[in-house]
Amino acid sequence: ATLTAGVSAKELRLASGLPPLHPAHDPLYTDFQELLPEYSDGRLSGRLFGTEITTLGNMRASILSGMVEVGLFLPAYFPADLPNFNLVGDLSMLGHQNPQVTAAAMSEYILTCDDCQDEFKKLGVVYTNSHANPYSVLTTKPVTKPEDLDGLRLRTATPQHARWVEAMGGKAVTMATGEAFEALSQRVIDGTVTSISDVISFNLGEVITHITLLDMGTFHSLANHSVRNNVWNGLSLEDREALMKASVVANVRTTARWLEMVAEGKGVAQENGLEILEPEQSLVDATLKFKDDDLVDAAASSEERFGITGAEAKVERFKALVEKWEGLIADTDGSEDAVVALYESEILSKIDLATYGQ
Amino acid sequence: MFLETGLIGLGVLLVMLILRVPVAIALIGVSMGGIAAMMGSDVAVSMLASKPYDFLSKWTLSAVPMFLLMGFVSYHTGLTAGLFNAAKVVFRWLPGGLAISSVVASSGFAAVSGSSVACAAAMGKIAIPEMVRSGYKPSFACGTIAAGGTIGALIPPSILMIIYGTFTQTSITNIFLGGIVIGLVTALAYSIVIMLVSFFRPDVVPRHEEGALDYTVAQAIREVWPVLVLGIIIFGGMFSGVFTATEAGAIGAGGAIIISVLLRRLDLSTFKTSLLETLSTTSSLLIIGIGASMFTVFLSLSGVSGAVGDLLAEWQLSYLQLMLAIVVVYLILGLFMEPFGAMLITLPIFLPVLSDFGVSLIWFGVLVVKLLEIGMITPPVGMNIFVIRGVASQYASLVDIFRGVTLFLVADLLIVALMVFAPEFVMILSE
Amino acid sequence: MNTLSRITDRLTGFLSYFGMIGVLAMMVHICADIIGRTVFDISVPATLEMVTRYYMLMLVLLPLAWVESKRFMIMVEAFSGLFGKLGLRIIDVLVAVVCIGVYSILAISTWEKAIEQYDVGAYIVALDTQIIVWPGYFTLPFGFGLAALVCLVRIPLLLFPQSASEAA
Ligand code: NA
Ligand code: NA
Repeated sequence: ATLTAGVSAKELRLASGLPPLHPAHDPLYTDFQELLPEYSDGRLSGRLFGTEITTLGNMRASILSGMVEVGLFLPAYFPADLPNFNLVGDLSMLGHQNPQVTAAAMSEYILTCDDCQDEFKKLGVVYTNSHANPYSVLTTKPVTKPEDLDGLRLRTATPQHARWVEAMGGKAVTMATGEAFEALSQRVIDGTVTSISDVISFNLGEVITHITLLDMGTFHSLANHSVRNNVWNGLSLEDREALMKASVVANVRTTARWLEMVAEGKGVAQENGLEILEPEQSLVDATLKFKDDDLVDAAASSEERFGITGAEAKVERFKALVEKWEGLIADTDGSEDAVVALYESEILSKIDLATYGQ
Repeated sequence: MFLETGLIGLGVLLVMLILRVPVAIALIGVSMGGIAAMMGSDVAVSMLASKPYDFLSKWTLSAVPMFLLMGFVSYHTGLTAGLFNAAKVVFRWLPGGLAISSVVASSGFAAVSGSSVACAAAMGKIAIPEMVRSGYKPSFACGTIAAGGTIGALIPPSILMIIYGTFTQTSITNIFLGGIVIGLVTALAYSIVIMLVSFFRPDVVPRHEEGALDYTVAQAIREVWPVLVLGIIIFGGMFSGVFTATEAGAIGAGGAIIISVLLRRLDLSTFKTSLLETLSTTSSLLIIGIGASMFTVFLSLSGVSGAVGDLLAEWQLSYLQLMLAIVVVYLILGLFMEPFGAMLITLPIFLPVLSDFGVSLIWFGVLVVKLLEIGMITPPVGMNIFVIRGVASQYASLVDIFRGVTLFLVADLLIVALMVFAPEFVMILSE
Repeated sequence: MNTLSRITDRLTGFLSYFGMIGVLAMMVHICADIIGRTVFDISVPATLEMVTRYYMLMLVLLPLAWVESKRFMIMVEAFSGLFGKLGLRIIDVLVAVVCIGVYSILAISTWEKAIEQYDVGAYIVALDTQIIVWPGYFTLPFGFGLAALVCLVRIPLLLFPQSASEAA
């Protein structure tokens, strides 16, 4: 990178709120930090802070107070702030098995959703894009048929997964990811609906015995590099373009990293003698039926709880975007360059960054 | 850049500490003022509002009050009183047998108590008078107990290690395993020191004990079994995986209470004293932890932590030079400061540097605890020395006691050298 | 001022009893959990949640004012000898002022946070039970505020030790 601009360089305070080895920190934030000066010809740079500064739970206060200028924001932690975002963010089971598809569809949806943008404006944060991470079922008992789930206590990270567990006759439990290990080892819960990568990153390989390769969609309720409002307003058009591009590239790499980690997690699971099971058709069918029934309920309940209008149409638009991106990405080799190029032609080129977020 | 503010903050902290501002208040005050000066009061207030809750609501920290309660109950009800007599049965025949027995008894006490001061106080009352009666030079007798007390924080449970593990997010069980190794090595080294002194200076440490034991072996066993049972429950449960290191504290505290009630040794006022001491120790320690977590934010935002790392990178320090620097810093801080403050003030500065060097944080935790425990017996502020002075004032002056620990300090420095040169030795049980 | 110091004494002592309850409740809860799952294969609900959201906060913050009043707070004593008797008393007053400042700002900041949590009715879900967590947040402003009060009451006693001993 050329650092000739020198004096006018703006250093942004970045924080993921996550530990160093988490993909939503490395590469999502480490690569973003590297790419900022590259794409902005040295006008922008970042200082990356660790969890000693802030955690995901405190990110809202950290960005709003100005301690952090660009941070990873999990809307699910703050349901009252972004109900329109959460409407689709919470529908984890609409996520495509290829997380790049979900990530792109989610990013396009939020960037072009006026109600979502109004909510972000009110909050004082500018949205860039979302990444995604595919989920499966990790348990201490074999799960291949709907009956196996009867009475099981499963930890879930999203409301839709919780409703699925309940619909299958189990009990849904909410707790922080970091606490799942302790809870599994204490037999407080029988399993968790999460990414297979947790076998390694949270050591779950030591406490679970079975992995069911049931398509549970993705976790995508994420606002990757959320920029504090007044920082964004102070950026030139070129700097905004550079920031957006850096964010997109880091996003595509992070989503790819999740896929790698899922593969690594399966490898470790096999080495440790964990059983990796394919679900029986009865469980796949029951899950598909749940997904169809649930969409109607979810739309109705968020209209009722948060006063969202036209929820069903919004969910339909998200579904259509997932299908659109499934086709777009299937036509490429799936490489980083190809996916980034699609983000640019399909999303970024249609957004006026001179007025976006203001 | 805010580097200047960061350095001013460090200076202000130093002045506040010298002026006797409580360590916690100094840390919180400097962080608050510094962050407000750099980034405005909104940022400072947002940190003040969230950090205390975030720091305290940690599962692993719950081991601190639990292990403290176990130690205080065991001590106040005299469950640990029989350790010295039991150790004498086995080790009395060695040259310097009484002193060695007191070191062994301290190691036993360590297994049911989390702190070094409690260990020194308990052993001091029992062992020093007997050693002096048997012809030990009083200053050496006092020095032995003061130094032996440091084993209390090395052999698990150890409050220092729990707080270190929580702060650095490392496995407390693994740090405990390292602590067992270094605690036992320390006990062995101290015993060798005693035997050597006994060999060269029989006027300081008598070579043989006169007379027979005034109790039977059966009596000794009857006196010591409560501690043994408690130790077996805690260590057995913890290392066999029935419960975690964090939960072991609650089982230990519950066990100590049940045993002392069964032995009819726990009355209401002893119970209340133990609880109040637990509360005051926990509260005063964890408030410092809150302060240290804020100070970390301040140092990180100001760029001081990063600058220290850059400076070291620029100097191209080797591993040994870095370790030498860290050892010297802790030995100097140990002269003046109590261990918790010293540890929590320095970790935010050292941890980022260590990760650049690929140092194991578990090993480092054991090293830091060992270094801080050395500070408990160095002048001018050595808590263990003060405690011994309190329980054995008729035998030796402060200066005498500081003189009495000199040889044990030499042994400690050799152990530190061993830890630095052969880090894998510390981890021998952890793998 | 005397009545004020008597009231603070009472209150701090009283609160330390709640701290004791916190310690014992935590011990019993964790032990019950371990025994329950190893012996009877049942799990005691909400152990982790109660420990982190209530017991720990109770046992650190409720006795804080009492710890401050007994002057059990950890400080560096190494240099006390340098200041002389009068110097030490002046310094103690200054230190009390600093402590009042820091405790008060902590109390105000954490109070706002507690109110925010109360307003949203903050809760977490453990097993099937919904556990409200907002009350735990109030231990912070309460503990810090009372500690500030204790330091405030100390100042006249430091300035006029004579009248203080008469009053006692
Ligand atoms: Na110990
Ligand atoms: Na010292």
